[in-house]
Parts: sequence; C-alpha cells; structure tokens
Amino acid sequence: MTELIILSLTGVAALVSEFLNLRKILLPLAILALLVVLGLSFSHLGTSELVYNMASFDGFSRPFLMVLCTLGVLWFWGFRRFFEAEKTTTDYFALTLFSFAGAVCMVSYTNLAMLFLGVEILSIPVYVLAGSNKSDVKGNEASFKYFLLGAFSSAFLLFGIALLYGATGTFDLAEITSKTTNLTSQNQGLLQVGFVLTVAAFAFKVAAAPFHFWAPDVYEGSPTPVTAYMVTVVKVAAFAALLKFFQAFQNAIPQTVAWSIYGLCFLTLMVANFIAASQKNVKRLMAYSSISHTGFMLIGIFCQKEGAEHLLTYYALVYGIASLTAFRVLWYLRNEVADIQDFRGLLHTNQLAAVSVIMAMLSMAGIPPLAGFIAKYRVLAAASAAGQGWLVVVGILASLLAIYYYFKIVIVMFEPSEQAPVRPLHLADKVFLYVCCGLLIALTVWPVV
Amino acid sequence: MLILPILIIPLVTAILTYFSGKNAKYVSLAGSLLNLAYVLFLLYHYNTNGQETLTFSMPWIPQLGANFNLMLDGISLMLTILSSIVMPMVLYASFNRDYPDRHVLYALMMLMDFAMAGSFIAADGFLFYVFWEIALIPIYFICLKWGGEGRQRVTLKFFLYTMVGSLFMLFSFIYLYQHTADHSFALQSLYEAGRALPVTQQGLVFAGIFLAFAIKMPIFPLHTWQPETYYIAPTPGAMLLSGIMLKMATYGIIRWLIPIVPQGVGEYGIWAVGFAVVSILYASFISIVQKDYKRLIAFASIAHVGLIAAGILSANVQGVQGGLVEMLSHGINTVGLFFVYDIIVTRTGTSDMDRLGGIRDIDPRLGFMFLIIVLSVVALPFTNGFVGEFLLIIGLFQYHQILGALAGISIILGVVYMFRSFQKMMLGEVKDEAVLYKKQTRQETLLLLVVCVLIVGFGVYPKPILAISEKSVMELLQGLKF
Repeated sequence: MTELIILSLTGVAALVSEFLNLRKILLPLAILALLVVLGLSFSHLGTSELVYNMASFDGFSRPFLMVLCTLGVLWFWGFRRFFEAEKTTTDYFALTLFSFAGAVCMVSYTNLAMLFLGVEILSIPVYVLAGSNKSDVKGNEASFKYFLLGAFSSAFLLFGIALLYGATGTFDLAEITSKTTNLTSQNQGLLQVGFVLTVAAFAFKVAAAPFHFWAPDVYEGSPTPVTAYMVTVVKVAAFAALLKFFQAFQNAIPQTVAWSIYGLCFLTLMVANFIAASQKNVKRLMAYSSISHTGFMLIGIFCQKEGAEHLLTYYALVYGIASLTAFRVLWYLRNEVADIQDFRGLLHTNQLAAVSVIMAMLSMAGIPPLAGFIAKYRVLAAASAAGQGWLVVVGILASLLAIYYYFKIVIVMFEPSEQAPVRPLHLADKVFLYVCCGLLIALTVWPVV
Repeated sequence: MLILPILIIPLVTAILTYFSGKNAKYVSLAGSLLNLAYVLFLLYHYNTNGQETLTFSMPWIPQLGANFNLMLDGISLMLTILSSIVMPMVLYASFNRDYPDRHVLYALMMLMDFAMAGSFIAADGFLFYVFWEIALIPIYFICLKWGGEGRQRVTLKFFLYTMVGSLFMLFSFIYLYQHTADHSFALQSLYEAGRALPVTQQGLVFAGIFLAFAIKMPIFPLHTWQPETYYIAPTPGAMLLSGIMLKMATYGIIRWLIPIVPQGVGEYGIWAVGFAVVSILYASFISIVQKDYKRLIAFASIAHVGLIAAGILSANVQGVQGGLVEMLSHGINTVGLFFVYDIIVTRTGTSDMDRLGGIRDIDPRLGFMFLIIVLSVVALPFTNGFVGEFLLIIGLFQYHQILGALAGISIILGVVYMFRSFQKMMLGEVKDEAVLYKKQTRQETLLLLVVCVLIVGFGVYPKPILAISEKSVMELLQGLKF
C-alpha cells in the first residue's frame, strides 16, 4: 500500500510543483520515489499485505514491482531530456507517475474491479502522452488510434468481467477460483466466454496477434520516449495482470480454450516475425519485435505451471533493458523519423552507441552470452516440459527469423558512413548505456530468478 | 582450481587488449604466450600426476539444472594445447598487416580464444552450448568488419547456418535434460540419460546433435557457407575458423555425441560416416579444379575434416586417437597454409594460381618451407600429418572396409591438389603478378620456421602427443555398447 501512496503523492507533487516553481527537483524526486518503492519491495520480499481485499502486495506482485521500478528508473534516467520542454514538464511528470500508479494496481490486484481501475489509470495518461507532440500528424494519429482501440479493449474487459461476475457472483479473484469447480453448465458457459473476452482484452493490451494491429502505428507515431515507456512499463504491467488472471483460471480451462490460447502464441510469433523481416522503419521493426517477444512471454505464461512469475519477471526485465537501450540510441540518432539507414556507419561515428545497440539486438535475438538467451531458453524449456514440443519448434523458427532482422540493423552499422559525425553523447547517457550493457551480461552470469 | 586460468587468461587478455590502444598486438601476444606457458605447465602437471583428470564444479543456474562444471582430461588437454599453440601464431601472423582498429580485432580474437577454450573444457551441456555460441559472435564481427567483398551477405549466411545447427543441438540437449534423473545438464547426467534411451530416440538425438557439428565442420551437403566465408574472411579470421573453431565440432563428436548416444551412433553412425566420406571425395575433387589458392585451402579443409569426422565416428581407439592428433596437426598446417596465402597476396594482390609462378626462384626460403607444409598436408611420413591420417584410416578401415578404402583415396587426391598448387605458384617462370613478389621479412620467416619445426618435430617423434590422450580415449570408449 505504501508503494501506491508514494507514487500517487509524487504525481500530485508534480502537479503542484507547477505553481510552486519546483520543476528542477522533479526528476530526482521521481527517481527517488521509484528507488524507495524498489527498496521497500525488496526489503518486504518475504511478507504479504492484503489491502481491503482489493490488492495484495505479496510474493507475486513484489518481484513485478521491482522490475517495474528498475525499468522506470532507467527510463527516467535515459529519457530525462523528454521532460525538458518548457511548458509541459510538470504535466509529463504527473502523467507518467499516475500511469505508473496504475501499473502498480495492475500487478497487485486481487479484485477484478481493481484490475479495471488499474488498466484505465495506466492507459489514459499514455493516450495523452502518445499525442504529446501536438504538431505531429503521426503523433495525433497514434494517440487517437491508441485511444479508440484502447477504449474498445476496455469494453471487452468490462464485458468479460461482467460475465465472470454473472457466472460466479463475485469480483474477487480468489473466490472466483474456488467457485470455478462446481458450476452449473450454464454458468460454466458464461465463465468460459467471460474468460475468453478478458483474455482478448489483455491480448489487445500486450499486442498479441491478431489483436496487434494498433501497435506498429502507435509505436511509430508516438514520441520515442513514450514508445519506450509503452514497450517496457505498460507491457510488464499488462503481462503481470494477465498472468495473475490466467493463474486464477488455470484448472478451469477446457481443452478447446487451451488450444485457442496456444494458437494465440503461434500466430503472434509467426505474424510478428514474418512482417518484421520486411520492415524498413526501425520503430515499426521494433514494434513487430515487441510483438514477437509478446509471443514468447505468452508461451511462458501458458506453459509454465508453477513459478511462471519468476520466468516472466526475468524475461520482462531483460527485454525491457534491451528495449530501453535500443530506443535510447534511436532517440539520440533521430528524434522522430527512423529509417534503418539512420544507423549506417554508427560504429565509426559513435562506438559506444553502436556497441550498445549490438548488445541489445543480440540479447533480443537470444544469443549467448547475453541475458536474452537465458530468458528465451527458459520459455522454450517450459514449453518443452509442458509437452508442447511444437511450440519449441515454432519458437526456434521465430528466433532464427528474428536474427535476420535484428542483424539488418547490426550490419548497417558496420557500413562506411557518409553522414556527418553525430554529436557526442552526454556523460550521463554514456553511463546509462554502460549500465544497460553491463546488466545484460550480468543477468546471464547471475540470473536473478 | 588449476583449470580456471585456461579461461581467465584469455578473457583478461581480451579486456586488456581492448584498452591498450597502440600496444594491442604486444599485449595480446604476451597474453596468448602466457596462456601457452600455462597450458604447458598443466601438461607437465598432468603427466607427473599420473594423468589425473582435473575438474572444477560450481552451481550456476540451479533452477535450470545448469552448472559451471569444467573438466580437463587428456582429450580436452589435447584441444587446449591446440588452441594455445595456434593462438599466438595467428596473432603473430597478423603483425605484418596494418588492420584498422587493431585493438578491437585482437580483443575479439582473444575473446574467441576464451570461448573456444571454454567449449573444450566444459563438462555441462548448457555451459558447452553457451561457449559454443559465444565463440560465434567474435568471428562473425571479425568477418563483418575486416572481411572482403560481399561480407554482409556471406557472414549473415554463415551466422544463420550455424545458428540453425546450434538450435537443433540445444533442442536435443533439452530433450536429454528432461530424461535425466536429477534434472541436470551435467556431463555424467546427460551420459546416463542418453544411454538409457531406446535406440530410435537415440537416433533422433544423434541426428539433432550431429547436425550442429556437421554444419560447423562442415560436411557435405551442409558446407555451402564455408568456402565463401573463408574467402571473404581476413587471414587471421580464416586461420581461427579453420585452425581451431571447426575442431569444436570434431571434439564435440568425441565428448558430446558418441558417449551420450552410443547405440544411436552404432545404429545410424554409418550414415554420418557415409556423408563424411562423400564430403572427403567431393571436396578433394573440387580442390583439384580450383584456380584460387584460398578457395583451394577452404575445400582442402573440408576434405581433411571429413576424414577426421569419419575416423572419430568409427568409435574405436585408433580412429579417435587419430582424430585428436590430426586436429592438432591440421590446426598447425592450416596456419601455415593461410600464412603463405597472406604473404603472397599482400605482395602480388592476387591468389589466382594461374597468374602466379616461379616464386621459389625469387624466394627459395618460402619455397622450401611451403614444400614442408605441403608434404605434411599430404601426410608424408615423418611429418605430423602422417601420424594422424594413418591412424584415422586404420580406424575407419576397421569400421568399414569399403569406406576406409574410399577415404584412403583422399590422400592421393590430396597429393594432386596440393602439389598442383605448389607447382603453379612456386615453380615455372616468374610471370604476371608474381613479378611483384618481394622476399619475406624476418617476422614471416620466423613464423613459418615455427610451423615447420612443429610439423617435423611431431612427425618424427609423435609418442608424447599420442600419450596425452590415449588413456582418456580408452576410458571414454570402454564399456560403451554400440
């Protein structure tokens, strides 16, 4: 509970600071708040706290909170210049911090009403942030598209929750789980439809095929820092919520529904990787790559019977760090438009930036010794242990395709460059890249599981 | 603990090299020589302590059953000696060229040395796979940055090709892991799990793992990445690929294939040997018609590694021992062959054998030393090439007489293509680009001299080399039911 209060208060402080003229301290304040939450979660790792039967801070949500805070700190650090716009600094801070509070609700909910609240608190600020570049047409398109489809998926979510309530008479996740076993056949049907609708709403949020169509446009149109926020914080929160939801129904899913879930994984991996291979715009490419990672994480959720949260937190942390690195360098090269050719010759103009991108790409492609390998390996091992050998084969094929398009970026950096040398990186950004690369290696050597 | 410096020295050297700027070449050479000295000390230690296997064990990711297990027996020691001898030679060989960003080049080379050494001493399936993959990354970037024309396409093909094989190997390891009693990737657990499988399953695991090795070596028909990659690779890259890296695959057959699925090898190994023999003949015939010397070496390498693979897969003591000795000799000879290529091409700008000739008249020393290397490649007695190939063919002949005889032809074919290259470049009149040739420098002479001394030394007195791995090979093959 303290975690939620701290983040909300920091958000309020950001709003108030506008007329108190305290803009300068906002960045340290935000990072400090996240670090405090991180520390709190770490020190209370073994304990659990139930808040009014609505949210629970326990062994499930605390690791996710830690991952969220780590990614949040890195995000604020790497993209701090995003907040340097004159008039909007405090708005941006407040929006980000409020959406972060929504993320906290989503990872810790125990009641479906809380889940819905969390989803909305998380999403609404991000709709606004996506369109924060008011003069940019693509930004407007992105914001509008994200809002419309987001609202649509919220409707699905509400409908699904309503049906679940109809079937079981409660919003409480634990009670729903206990009631799933002895239902009348009519209620059983309601429960299944409710489950499928809710999962579909989640599939919208995490951008799983065939609910992924908004992702490339929104990721491309939004300002790069917001895109980075979406693929890290928003995604992790949505996955944590989905995992919690799925675990509650694990024993009540009939075979047909289970197969459609595996179909979701298969489709996501295939669609994302085949389309990504032909992309020329880096942000769209990263969008499809993000969808492909969604596919892997879905396999992790659906196949790992016990301790899926460990697998997922690890995967999300590693993927988040690699994404932040890649988007940071992308943002440094070009503010908005991003063709693969923008990376041309980067190795000769800025070695650190180039090496960071290479490491991020190798990690996302799942090549040892980068941590992305261990993450993907654990997912595939889980699928294999669950007897879904064909998903392992699909995952391996997807990884091979992924190597092709990630390496397109790597190869282009080795080309001789005709472009003028780019401006040097700021010291803090250099440290940021060193830390990210270091983490990608360190997480292999000491995998926190 | 004695085993750890084999990994630490190259890794630390790689890091130091990267930060040493202009002195990179000396730092890396010093590091690799230190490594060689340490390995020789280990050899001494190994022989004076009754050839006792050194081990190191530490949990790594317990949830996944992965351990940081290392093991150094005679077989691993042989390969470690190979990489520690070849590494300083490769580094020294590149001193005559002015590569841009050489501190990065040497750091990547040392990093690769680290990974290859790791794969030779890993005693855990997961760890082996990780080292196996790490070794790929530096060589990919070496070829991408310092390679020749068309490197983007060729290197990507190389990377994807190898990745496909590796992933099949990983899949097989996961499969084995699920059948282990204690859910562990440790070598012994995998051995037990593999041997307990029924024959058909052993065959599938055999196919999955062998695919990875067959691509890396490479064996016909999976070799199409190799000649192109060797051709565009910078000379030190080609030396590393052919001198050490492909031995990861042949070593893999000894450690990670035959003892894991002996019945699978017994039942289906004949197919693999068949492909290896086809590979030998196919590559030899192509070598004969090559016009370019570097491509000739590339195909010759396929032929030789095919023989090594066939001999090892015979799974008898002669075959495996021959394979190990031949790996060592092939590593040394390859450095020699590629170095001669480098010497000629830096001066004349071409490796087209039709446009060269009479170099021996300009530089008799090069002619003489090249002749010694050629004689070793064609396995003349009293050269190191003879010891290995002789044992390999004996082993293969015991396994299957017809295949043995066919593989034996490769020696004759080897004489044809190697002597042809010698004749075209060294003998005859000085013509075309060959007129540009200048006498070799002292550095070049020294390196070739080392190669020749090793060739003749091992050839005349191979006993200590054979003795390194004999006991371990016997122990490994003992009690295996094929």
